[in-house]
Amino acid sequence: MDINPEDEISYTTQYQETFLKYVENEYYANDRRVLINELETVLSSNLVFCATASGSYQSSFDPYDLSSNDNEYLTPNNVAETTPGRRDRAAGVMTATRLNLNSPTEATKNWGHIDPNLNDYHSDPMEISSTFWILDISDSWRQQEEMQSKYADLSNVARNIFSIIPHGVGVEASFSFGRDVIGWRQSKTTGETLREKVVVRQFARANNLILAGTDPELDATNTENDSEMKKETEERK
Amino acid sequence: MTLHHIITVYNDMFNHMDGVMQALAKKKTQSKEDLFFAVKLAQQKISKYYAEVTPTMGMRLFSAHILDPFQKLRSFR
Repeated sequence: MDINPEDEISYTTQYQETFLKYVENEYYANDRRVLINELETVLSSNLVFCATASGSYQSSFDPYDLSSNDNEYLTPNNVAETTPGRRDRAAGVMTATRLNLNSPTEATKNWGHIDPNLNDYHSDPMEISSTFWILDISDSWRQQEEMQSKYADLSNVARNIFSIIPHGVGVEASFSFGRDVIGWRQSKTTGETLREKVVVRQFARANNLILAGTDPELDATNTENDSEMKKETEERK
Repeated sequence: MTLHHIITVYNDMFNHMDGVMQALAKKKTQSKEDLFFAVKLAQQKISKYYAEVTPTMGMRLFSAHILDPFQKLRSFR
């Protein structure tokens, strides 16, 4: 993505143009080929061409390094793949994208609001956090689609992008592993000790717990945090 | 769906770390110097992750962020 951080004035514009390029390249590349093919046809017929000014394929801006495949885009071999209806839809999406980006953001009235003057520490934290996540953008885009609004075509792009799941079990397990290494009652453990503990435990996990024998200290499944919890439970009894 | 939160979370973390480092920059207490050093390392680590994430799937991240109807291009202003 070719965003120039020194150009602060048109920073938003750069992101907007890059996003438009992305939508066009990623979702309507075939339509672009046809447009170029038509352009070549028109030029070869020695006719005056006046409708390519808005064609972004003429720009030197190339965020995806597609210049190496220019021959593919300029060869008239994909004409049959695209129908006029699809071409219209591509143009509609580009228009909808521009309109959407230039329109103001939706009102955030549904955002979870916590009154700072209200020291309600006894309220359910899950309830508070649930209001934060109430901004379900999938619903927002689904409504656009169902209402057949002017952004309905853009909802397909949104659905494709938001279907990507960015998190996984491995990352979340790594965060849990951190609490296992540093228990609630450890405040004087040095960094070097922590480093050694992490290395030993990771090695044990990677080698199917070969270090876990009769010594509970080396058993990665029996963490210190678990031991502390057990001790606390016994003390309460 | 959490893809559109990634840029926001990174921004918040960088801002928070900048604030903490700014507050601790002139402190001479050993514990606060240690904390400053730890935050500095954390910032370097996150910067490294951010630099690795953005070239591979950066456009999808930014697209998701821009397609968030409550954010759009506001974060890039």
